[in-house]
Amino acid sequence: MRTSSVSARPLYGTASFRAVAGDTLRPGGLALTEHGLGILESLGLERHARILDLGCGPGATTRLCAELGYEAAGLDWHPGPWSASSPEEDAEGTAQGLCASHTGDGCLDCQAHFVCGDLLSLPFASQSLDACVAECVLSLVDVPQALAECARVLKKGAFLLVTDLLLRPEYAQALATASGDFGETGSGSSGKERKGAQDLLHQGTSCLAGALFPWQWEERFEGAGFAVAVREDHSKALARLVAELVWYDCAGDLDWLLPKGPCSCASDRRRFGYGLWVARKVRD
Amino acid sequence: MLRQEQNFAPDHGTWICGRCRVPLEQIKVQALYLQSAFDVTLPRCPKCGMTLIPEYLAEGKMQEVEALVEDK
Repeated sequence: MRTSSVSARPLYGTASFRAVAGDTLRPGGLALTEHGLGILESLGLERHARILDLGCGPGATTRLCAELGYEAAGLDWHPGPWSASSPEEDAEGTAQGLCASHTGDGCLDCQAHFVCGDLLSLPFASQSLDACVAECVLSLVDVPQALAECARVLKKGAFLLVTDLLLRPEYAQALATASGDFGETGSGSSGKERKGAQDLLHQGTSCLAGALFPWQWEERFEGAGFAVAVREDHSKALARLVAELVWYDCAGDLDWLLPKGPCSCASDRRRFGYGLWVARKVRD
Repeated sequence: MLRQEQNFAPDHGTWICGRCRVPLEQIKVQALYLQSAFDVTLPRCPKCGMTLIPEYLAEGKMQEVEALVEDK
């Protein structure tokens, strides 16, 4: 995944996380990717369409797209944050050469291609792609700029599939209640809740600090010229991943990940969820 | 890989399978809960497969992980 704008070592950059999460490096695994691609197909994406996998990491999604018959390209920034991680992790062999984009090679078994590049400046022609897939990667970068680039390279009517970390709406309510200024009973997008969300956004530098409330994600999609067609909550996939991290004693990595410092996954875990969105480019 | 092996011995003493009358052995099994699977080594009867979950595990880490998986 691209990390040039990430100051803290992200969770996915730890060997222990990969040991639990596998090569997809995110909640939901390939099952969630297949589910999302199925939605795109149901909305009219044709096989042989050109798909770009943003922040492809080891390339699992890119390869899956190619195996399903799409013309798939995976893009990432550099070999992976693992190469700059601790010697212990390097010694475990999980750090080296993990990012498929670094090889610049195609997949020998399928028609996947990998490109080393910046997702804030995509090396693709304008209006040349039929779909972009961004799985747990937008939360790591400048979202408006990344979405603007997606909008540029996608054809009008083309698809954007996003899965990413979200802040649960009920957390905004809890936050507002705790601060004593929650006087409304409206939906999860009241002005006071939004202010609480903005306050949260300025906490910490971990990758979870990039999580947004669902309505904030959608504001950004719409601001870049996309119309949301499908939205789904997959927070249980995140819960399962956190449970596995705890079970295999990898939760210690969350110490530096959670915005408030010491690992408190038992109490803080419900702050975060995981969402899926499918949007279509509606503006040139 | 840094995935820690999870090995949980009995709380105390030597346990004998009541049905087979053989000592339990530490055997790798898979604990399934909802849609999650967790590899773990537990005391198990080598003959009939009866598995013992130590009390400290049931009331400790297993309970914590169950709550996480349930997402409640």
